[in-house]
Amino acid sequence: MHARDEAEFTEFAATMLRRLRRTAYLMCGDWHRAEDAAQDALVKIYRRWNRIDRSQGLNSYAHQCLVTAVFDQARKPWRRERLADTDEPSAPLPDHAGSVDDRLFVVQALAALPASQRACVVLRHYADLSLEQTADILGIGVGGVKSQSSRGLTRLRELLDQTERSAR
Amino acid sequence: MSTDIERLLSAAADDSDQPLHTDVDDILVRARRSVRKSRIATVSTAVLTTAAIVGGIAAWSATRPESEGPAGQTITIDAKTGRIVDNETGKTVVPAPPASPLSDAEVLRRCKPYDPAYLHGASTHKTMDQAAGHVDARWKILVKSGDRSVLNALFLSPDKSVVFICTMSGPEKPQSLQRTMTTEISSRSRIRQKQTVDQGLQISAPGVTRVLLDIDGESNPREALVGTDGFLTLGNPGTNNTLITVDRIRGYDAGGTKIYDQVTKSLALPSQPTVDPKVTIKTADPITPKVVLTKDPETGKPLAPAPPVSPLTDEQITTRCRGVDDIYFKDSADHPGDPRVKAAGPVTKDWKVALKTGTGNKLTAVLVSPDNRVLAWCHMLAATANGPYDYARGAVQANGKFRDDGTFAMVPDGVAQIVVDLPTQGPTRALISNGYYIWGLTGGNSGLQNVRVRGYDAQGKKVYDQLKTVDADFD
Repeated sequence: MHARDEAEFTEFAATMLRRLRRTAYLMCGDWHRAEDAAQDALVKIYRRWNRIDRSQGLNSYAHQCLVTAVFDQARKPWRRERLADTDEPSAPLPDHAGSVDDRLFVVQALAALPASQRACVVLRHYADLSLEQTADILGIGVGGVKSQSSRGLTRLRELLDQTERSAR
Repeated sequence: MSTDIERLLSAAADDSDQPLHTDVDDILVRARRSVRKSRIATVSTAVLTTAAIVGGIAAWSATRPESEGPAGQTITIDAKTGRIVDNETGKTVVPAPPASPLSDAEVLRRCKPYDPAYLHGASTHKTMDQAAGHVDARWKILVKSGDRSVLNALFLSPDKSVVFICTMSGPEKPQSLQRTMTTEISSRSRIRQKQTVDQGLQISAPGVTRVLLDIDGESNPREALVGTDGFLTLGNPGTNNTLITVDRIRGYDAGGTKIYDQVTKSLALPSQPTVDPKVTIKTADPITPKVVLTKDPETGKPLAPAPPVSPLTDEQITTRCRGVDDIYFKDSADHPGDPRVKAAGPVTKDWKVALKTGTGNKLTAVLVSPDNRVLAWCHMLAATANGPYDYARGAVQANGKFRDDGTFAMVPDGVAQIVVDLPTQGPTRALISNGYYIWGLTGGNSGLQNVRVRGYDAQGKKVYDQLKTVDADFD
């Protein structure tokens, strides 16, 4: 890659790394896997940097690479991943304000959604991507994004309500 | 409508208490290496393969003194506890992980069931699958640590090319399964790079029985568990998945005397091998087929046609490629490279268009310098350098050839026609031109696949059969 392009990529990667990691975290519920996915996505973008139209759609393309990376990880579930039924789950320390617990409830609720619904909810309502962009990233129609997002949001609210009730 | 959800998602993704373990430099190093893997042939002046880098560093390593500290430095081994004291630094040593009490057969029994599933998911590691096959009793256990429940074990494939790393958090609870090329593990003892705790290392130092690792960011050295053939492990990482970077490795003999000392180095390009400047490119003599293959001689399937010869004239091509060549020269002005590459001068109409393919504005061409020592790889998806492109130059190797890079290759001697078994379209005729061949409008290095490349002589007899990495992404 040429020096000028590499400088542009470096700036882009520095801007996007945390953002992609956060999006991936909502999709997979594991910070380590999320960081791996963000890294995989950025490496892929680097390899195509000269071939993608950087004037438009770069954010969308980055999320497409990210979603692919997260889904790829899901297909090899025990690579650098502690299984859910392990005896010693990696849980954060309890916090008195309860904010960490609340955050975990949300992540757990997201994890209970089917992958496509979860992806739609995260891309639309966290990554702030349009219906068209989300459809393009997931390779489904705009109608599919609408219905999946709607079902996902409804289910997510149900799950969070249940969690809230059970916590009382 | 969904602002409540958006607020919750935003809070859930708050990473202020989750420090990044990766920085952009890490990504750049990884990304550059992934590109280099596929671009060695044409860019030998600017880009080297991982193998070449490792080889270069190995050569550097072989010529530097292994021991950096004063001779005779030792460790003291506590006879009661078996723990060691680092006399060089006076620091307390974090003990080695315990050797696993499990028999090799039991270790194999626990790890083996998860290998096929891992292979199924790890579609990117087809080379390793083919080379090594499934884990079974023929695989040698190099080192094993843990207790009756937790396990970390490294297995070596029968052909010694692959190491299978099995980390279990319980007898039937796989925690992390990986396959790695053996060369990759041994390179970790020389090259600074991030790795997981359980991935292991290999050092080449006969007689070493105890090993200390200095790890970036850790104040005390850790002792590694030493297995056979110089393989080491820090054992099961437990719930800590933090990546580590090994700064220094010290090895001691049974008497506690240091006999190995390696400071890991950041990845750096070795100096260019010197090639006689008189060496010119030697292409195979052209052979006209007398029996033209239209079907795959092995399966009878019709051969997919060769990629089309570009309709652009040679002058149009040199003019277009000149645009990206100018950028290449401008960007590489500050980088010392093979002097032959610069000596060839900018692309002009005097450069020979050795191979050209593509339709419309899409173009892939191989250009040869007038002095017949330098190749330019020119892949453009638009008419000008403002569009996407992939461009590189390289100088010929000492044998008059260029290494295959996955995007095009040199025709082997005695070959008149070539069939490439492409993953999607099946057996495909390669376009042969002036001693070079190509199987599509390749560029971008993103669809690398291991495929068979077969060469046939003028009579249609197979005279060449190789498994090669090719770029199967034709967009």
